[in-house]
Amino acid sequence: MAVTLLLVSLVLGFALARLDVLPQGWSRKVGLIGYLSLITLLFSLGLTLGSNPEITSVLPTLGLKALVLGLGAILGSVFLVWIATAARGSGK
Amino acid sequence: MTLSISASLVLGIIMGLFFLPEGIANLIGSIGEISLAVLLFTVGFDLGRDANLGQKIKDLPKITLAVPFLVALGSIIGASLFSFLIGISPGDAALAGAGFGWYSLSAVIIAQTYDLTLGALALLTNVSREILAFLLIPLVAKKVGYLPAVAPGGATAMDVTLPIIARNTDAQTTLVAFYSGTVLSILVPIVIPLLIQLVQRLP
Repeated sequence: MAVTLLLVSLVLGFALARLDVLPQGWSRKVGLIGYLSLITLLFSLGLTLGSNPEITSVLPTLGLKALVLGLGAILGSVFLVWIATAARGSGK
Repeated sequence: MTLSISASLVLGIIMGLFFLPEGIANLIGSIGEISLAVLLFTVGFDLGRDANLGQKIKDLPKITLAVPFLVALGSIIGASLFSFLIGISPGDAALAGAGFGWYSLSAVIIAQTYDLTLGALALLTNVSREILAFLLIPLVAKKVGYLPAVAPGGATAMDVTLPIIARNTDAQTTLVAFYSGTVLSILVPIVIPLLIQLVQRLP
């Protein structure tokens, strides 16, 4: 993944908004563009995963175990961040 | 919105499994990369429109600096606790969890330097984490809090899951997510080799 391209996009979006050079009404369009590209991204991520034999060949034997571990990692990390931020009264 | 996101992901996986014509894998990779770049442009745009962003960053509690390290620790502990449900050693599970969602890198390091099967399990664990993160981030943001919603994505909070975090939290949290994902991406190639050394020394 070309990380540079991603960073440039992020900074460019930030700069354009700061400079306020885009016409009025663009903000709503930017939201819609974001939504559509999110859908496209997820679809292509699915395609990449589904068509990768390295992933699909081990799916039947390891898939369920992986799901359990992935969930464990998520719950553990959410829990620690929640504890730390809730203790400071800044969870939200 | 979560529904349409899940639907497009599942549709993609099914089409990839059964209908994908040969030789367009590169094209799909490019489409994914371009849509991610566009997406990050819109995230940057939303951040830039926030006039009080500088002050909001100053107002961030100090604990936010610790977020990526809490995510790292929580991922490793969480995965090793859940290892007992599926009958593998806690050390191996900790390794799979230490990919922090970056499936390609973690799997390659583990497969090359430790164990091939565990490499495959690490790959799928971190793929699962990324997919589950898409589904759980909106829920965590609503029910648990904004900062905890940075956690599910792990290292992907700087790119793939950043837009979901941006949509479900606020500008401050989006910045924390970017910072956390960046630190975690740096931690993956450091923590995994260290853990491998540790696991190999265990009985």
